[in-house]
Amino acid sequence: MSDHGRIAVHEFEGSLVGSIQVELSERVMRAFRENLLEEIHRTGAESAIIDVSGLSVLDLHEFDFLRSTFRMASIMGCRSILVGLNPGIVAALIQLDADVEGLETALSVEHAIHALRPPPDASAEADDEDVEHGPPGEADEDSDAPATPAEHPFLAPRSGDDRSGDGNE
Amino acid sequence: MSNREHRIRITGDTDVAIAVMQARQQSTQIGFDASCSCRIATAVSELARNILKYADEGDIVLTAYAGQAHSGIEIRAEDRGPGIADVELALSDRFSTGRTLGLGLPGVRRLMDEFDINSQPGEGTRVRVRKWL
Repeated sequence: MSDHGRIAVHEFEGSLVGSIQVELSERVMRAFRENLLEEIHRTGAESAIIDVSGLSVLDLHEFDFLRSTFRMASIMGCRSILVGLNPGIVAALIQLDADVEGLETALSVEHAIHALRPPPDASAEADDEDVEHGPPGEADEDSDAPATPAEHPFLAPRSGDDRSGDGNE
Repeated sequence: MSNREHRIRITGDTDVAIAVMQARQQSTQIGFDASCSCRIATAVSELARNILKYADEGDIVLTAYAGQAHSGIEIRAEDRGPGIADVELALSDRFSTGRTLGLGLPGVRRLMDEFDINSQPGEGTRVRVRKWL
């Protein structure tokens, strides 16, 4: 196979963004990892958004590779967000008992960019604490809001919250 | 009743990708929804990678069942590799946490409806899984 499988990494709104749309052969994976870490080093980027919405299947081997790549990025001070996992991939990964602990995800690149923006002001943090720690049903200005941090309405809950081992639908 | 069979020889990375694509295509043709097709394809990927990792080469055989009562897909993963010394241990979830050492077989079993394995040291491994519509 040729080098057409190169995954480009661009800078966008202060983050590095890489979109994976080709098959993850060993060579492509290694080249992608090298390229990403090189770009983090070169730009000093503090966040990287990896978009896998172009993949219809992501197996454990590929997933583990992404996770270890993210660990490498974090050692370089760069936070990684995985976006674009389709429902089939998510179901399969959970049934395969993939290690999703601590993995940051979002629905799309746009959602991730939004989540990475700093909170609007300090009072938003106070609301955030109320939403997380208040007892259920307590009257609050945000009583109808779901219990996600106020400044991250689109960031998916941390994977690892819903770990049920049975894998039944 | 018609059964369509596809055999894919697994000797490298590219073959894994081909088997995965074939599995997705066949699953969709049989009538599985996107989520199930993905799961079937993921199971194929896991089994094919096992073949590469432990036996260097083997076969993935995909069979589509289109019967009146039953429609579904069967995946067989066959190799003449070293075989598994303790199949029960490999099937227990203890192996799924130390995943780098394990075969991911409990996971494959969870992805599918039926699961059979036949493996002896020195005689290779044959895994057969099925998923029904």
